[in-house]
Amino acid sequence: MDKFGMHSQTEQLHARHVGTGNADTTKHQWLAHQHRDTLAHYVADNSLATYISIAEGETVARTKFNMLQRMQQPCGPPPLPPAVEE
Amino acid sequence: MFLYNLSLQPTTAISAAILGHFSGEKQQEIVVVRQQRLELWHPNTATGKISIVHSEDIFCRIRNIAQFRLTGGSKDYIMMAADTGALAVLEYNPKKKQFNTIQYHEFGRTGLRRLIPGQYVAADPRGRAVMIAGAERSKLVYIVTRDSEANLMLASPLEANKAHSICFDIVGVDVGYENPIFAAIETNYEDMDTDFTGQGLERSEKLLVYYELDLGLNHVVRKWSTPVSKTANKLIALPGSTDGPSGVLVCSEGFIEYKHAIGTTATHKVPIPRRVNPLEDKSRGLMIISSAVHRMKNAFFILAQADTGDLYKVTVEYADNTVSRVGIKYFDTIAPASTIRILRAGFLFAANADGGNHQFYQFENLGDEIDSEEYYSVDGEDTQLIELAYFQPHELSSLGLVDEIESLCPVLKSQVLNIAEEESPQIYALCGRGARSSLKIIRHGLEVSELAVSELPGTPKTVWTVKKRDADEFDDYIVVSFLDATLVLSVGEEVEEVTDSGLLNTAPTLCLNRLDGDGIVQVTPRAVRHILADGRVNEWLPPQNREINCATANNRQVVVSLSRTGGQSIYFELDSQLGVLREHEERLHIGNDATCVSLSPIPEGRLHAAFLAVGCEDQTVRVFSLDPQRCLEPLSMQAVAEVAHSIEIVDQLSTLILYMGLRNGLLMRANVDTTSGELDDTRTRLLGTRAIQLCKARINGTNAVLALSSSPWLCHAYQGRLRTTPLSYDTLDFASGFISEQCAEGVVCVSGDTLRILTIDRLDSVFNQASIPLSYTPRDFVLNDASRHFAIIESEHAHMSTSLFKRGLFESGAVENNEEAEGAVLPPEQFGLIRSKAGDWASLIRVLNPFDGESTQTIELEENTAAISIVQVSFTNHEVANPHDKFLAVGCVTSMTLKPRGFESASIRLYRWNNEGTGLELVHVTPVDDIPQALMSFNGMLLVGIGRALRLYDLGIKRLLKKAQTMVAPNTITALHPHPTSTERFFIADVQESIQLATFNQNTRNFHVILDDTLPRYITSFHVLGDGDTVIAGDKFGNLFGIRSPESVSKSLDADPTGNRLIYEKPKLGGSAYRWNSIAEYHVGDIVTSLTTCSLSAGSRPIIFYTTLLGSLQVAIPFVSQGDVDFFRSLELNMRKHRPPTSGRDHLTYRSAFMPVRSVIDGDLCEQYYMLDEEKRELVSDDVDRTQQDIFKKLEDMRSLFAF
Repeated sequence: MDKFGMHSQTEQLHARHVGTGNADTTKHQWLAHQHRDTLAHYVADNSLATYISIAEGETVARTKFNMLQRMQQPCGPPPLPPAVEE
Repeated sequence: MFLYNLSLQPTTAISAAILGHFSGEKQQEIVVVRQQRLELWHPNTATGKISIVHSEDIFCRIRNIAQFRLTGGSKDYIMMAADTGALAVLEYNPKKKQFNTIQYHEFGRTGLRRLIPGQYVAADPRGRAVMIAGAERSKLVYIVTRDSEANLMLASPLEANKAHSICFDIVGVDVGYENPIFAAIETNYEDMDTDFTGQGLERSEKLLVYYELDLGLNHVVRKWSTPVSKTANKLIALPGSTDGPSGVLVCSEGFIEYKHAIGTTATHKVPIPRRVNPLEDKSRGLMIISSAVHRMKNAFFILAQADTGDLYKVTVEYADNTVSRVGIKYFDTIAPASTIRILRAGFLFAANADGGNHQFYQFENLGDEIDSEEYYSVDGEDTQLIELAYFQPHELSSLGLVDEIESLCPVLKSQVLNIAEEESPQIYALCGRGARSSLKIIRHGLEVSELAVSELPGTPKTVWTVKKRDADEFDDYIVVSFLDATLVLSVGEEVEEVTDSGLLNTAPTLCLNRLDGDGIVQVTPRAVRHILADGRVNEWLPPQNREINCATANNRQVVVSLSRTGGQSIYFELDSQLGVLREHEERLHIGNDATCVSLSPIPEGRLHAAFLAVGCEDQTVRVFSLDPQRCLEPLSMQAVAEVAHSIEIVDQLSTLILYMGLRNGLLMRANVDTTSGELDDTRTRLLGTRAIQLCKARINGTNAVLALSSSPWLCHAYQGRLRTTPLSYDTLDFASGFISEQCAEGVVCVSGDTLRILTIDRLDSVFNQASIPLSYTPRDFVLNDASRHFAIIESEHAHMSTSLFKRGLFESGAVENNEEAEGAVLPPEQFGLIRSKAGDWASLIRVLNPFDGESTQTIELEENTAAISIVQVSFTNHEVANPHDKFLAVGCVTSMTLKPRGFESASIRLYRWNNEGTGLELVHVTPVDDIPQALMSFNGMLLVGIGRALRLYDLGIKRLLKKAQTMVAPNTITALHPHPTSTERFFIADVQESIQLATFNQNTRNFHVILDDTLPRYITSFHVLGDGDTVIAGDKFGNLFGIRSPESVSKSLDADPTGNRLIYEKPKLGGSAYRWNSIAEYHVGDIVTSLTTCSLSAGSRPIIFYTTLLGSLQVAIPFVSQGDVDFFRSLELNMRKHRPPTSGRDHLTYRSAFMPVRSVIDGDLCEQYYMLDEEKRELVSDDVDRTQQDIFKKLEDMRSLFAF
């Protein structure tokens, strides 16, 4: 089947470029990646982190920590997979 | 439209700072990160003052830096993690005064990405390796070595990646000379993503991981990991090997824990003590946000700061590299800092990113004397239970504030107004947050500190300072000259009058100078007096009926000019053998009376000044040679617009500069060729309305000239360019440089009938600020034009007001009466506001007089209500309102929650200005159904943006009356802006969907959107230019952009202002029928908070002025000629080519971080031309095809014509 090692190459690329989708990517997975990217950007960007921390009334350090903490599960637990039909 | 963007004041917030010996000298220095700038600060441990030595814009987002020293080296390097996708090793070159990239290793794409390393950087304390990590997955370790020339080298990176793991902090563990170890706090989310039970987050654990770099095998292994608290956020590395126990302190919410791979079976866990507060939320733990470890001989000292601002002293007791106990004790309270650093000389540097100034403290003790309970870790296996520990905060007792560096961060709103009616407008900015909020009044001008002011008997004309002996370090006399007398003051313990100085005090003094051989020359209108060291006086008298009208001298030469002789001048030279002044046989005849004379400075290694400059009555300034071979030969002449009042030649930036102060207040400047005496490159600038008096002085170790007109100015060299900056001080009449024990580089000056001693400490900031403290984070403000009072709304999330706190204390039974409650409130300036839970608000409306800083009225909003928008409005409904009444509408919301966005109720409070605009009275409150985030006065009614809807209100007796409503915005309306000319049109900003142009149809009472944008832009602030078609706006990602309406739309609207022709056109692609055209794009690198058009100095052209969140003040100058555009385009291009930013980031891609840059030239990059060395300058000027002087002139013109 996998004549040119295409499959393994794709897998490798998927592993390297986290967040790359495929046909089986669920909405939740896609959203979680989006949110993680966004949160990582907020943590990295001092200007945005300050902006958010002012709104929240927290220090910048705590705001950044909260963002990193949220990166673990940004969109809540994954929904149950649809029951596989026999 | 083509813009030239220039930052007048760079970002002031500091996100990171490191301490080290970056110049390679004994003195400790600080390198700070200010968004895209890297700066080297020099703390003077003798005086306790910090000065900024070097500041460089490196055009990238610096995210973290670490200090690095090679084993056995004496110089520290800077390891920089930024958005460059590379690790850069920088070095400070003290000779050239610049940062150099010595190693640069690229590993990924640019930008702020989660998987590319760059978020954290940590160095091995022994200088063998460095780790750079990303927010997720990636970690790279570089071995650092020396090459044969002892240069620092980076080996190929070693990967220590772990997929799906989020990194919270990394630190280099001190393990002596064993294999380097880096510690990291990580969590892994792989299981969470596939755990369908919903228990994933609870089951997950956070790990402390040790990564060991095996130097022998050249690879990195995950050596050890141990679970830590789920709230762990920060690591503090302890000294190791012979200096300490090694290992790390893991800071989590509420406690600190000691962890190490070797020899830790017992747990050492101490709670972070909390302030005694009966109303506290016990579930919220304190978080350590910054820390510093100070190594001393055989000991170390740890300070950690919690997010309340409290500093704790952490002690670690150990024996044989095994920790026996960890202790924690409250130390002091300062503002929450982004970084704290302890200097060896006993100072603490606290850099601030949460509002407030950067502070420099001196240690008065190490906290041992303070009576505060110390908590220790309990030996035992029980790690679960940590009881809450408490302390009673106290005033600063171990630290003393010695210096402050002002910071504007965060700037929340600003306005450029001239309500003080000065020559140039002031910038009023709402700055800071929480208890450190303030209204800052920012003026262009250097800050002057006044050391002494004393009254004099009469009105002095001039003032001089002089030393008695050549070898003296300090000035001995201050000589004040009046119209007909001279007063001699000796400087010592006290300044007092003396009469034995040998100086004539019955005549005015025209010129006074020290002469070699311990003599003094005093020129009075009737004599040139040479006072010798032994007290004898040699006098030269002018001919009868002739008086000396001007004179100049240095320590070997004297030139005097006689009045009414057609400019006859006599040149004296000190005879070094006889020690007397000898008159030159020839006299200088100019043909016109001289008004002022000046000698050029003596070049190094020479004895004589080479040139004499004379200002004449015929509106010329002439230069003569003083070369013995061709003495008094005319060399060059410069025609000036008015008679020169005063001239000076100084050596600045290794060129001779002739300054000419004219009688009409113009200052002219020309370069003097050092060999031929030719004048070229003449510049003119208007400084004031009075004749300009020029006085030499030394400021910050460089030659400077004070130009005193109706206001004082300083002409000095700064970072490779000449700058003329006003001083924020009273009018001065005359000044002289002054050196004494108390001030190394002071200025003594006369103003009116007073004598003053001043110093100018800081040249890095051309702005000075007056600050009026506020209570809570300010959100917006409006000006009452008539009374010139500001109405400011302030609101603070998750905090409570002191009155609520007092009431709470009373209700909870913690206190028995009001006085006790009063005593329980800590002063917020030091301790911050009282924290409450999320969803609680403290808010007020304040009426403030900006001139005396007094609040004439404060209205504290009760019942958890927060003010979020404010506007001044007048109503045309005269049945209800008096036509002269001015109203203030304030949008309020009760119990607002941020995540998710929600509220209990919302309202618009309408106030009427009373007491001649110094107070407010509530007219009525109108409830509304969503948060009124945007308000605008519109055709004598109030226009409100409520969620997605626009609503028009008119004034009623009991409440506002709804007149029209239309859903217009895609998400939420955040701001409204009127059209400059049309009354039907206005602009709407959406929280996500850029800007819309809308019209109001009177007949149908409907709002229609005519234009919207093709790009989603998260608008933070916007401004409409005077043409009514162009909008300049800033978004949340730090972009500045310009959009313009298509010509067809503008034409159609001009023909039919109601827009009837356009509103019925078919909508296109789900939006309105027409779209904005993008005309300018630029990535500023910081969120734009306020935009306006104004002219910044008297007579200059209007420009776009904006402030950014992290405290920068910038301008975007519209070009007026295509020639300038072409020139600056070419200059920018060549600067990019020949001087790429030190960070290694490509300048063009940085400025195009979100959208490709369009029609904006980066003036900051162009101005780096001043800092290039000669060779590079030549290269650039060749490629631009202009001379260097042309480029300098162009750059200077952009500043002087439009800004400053």
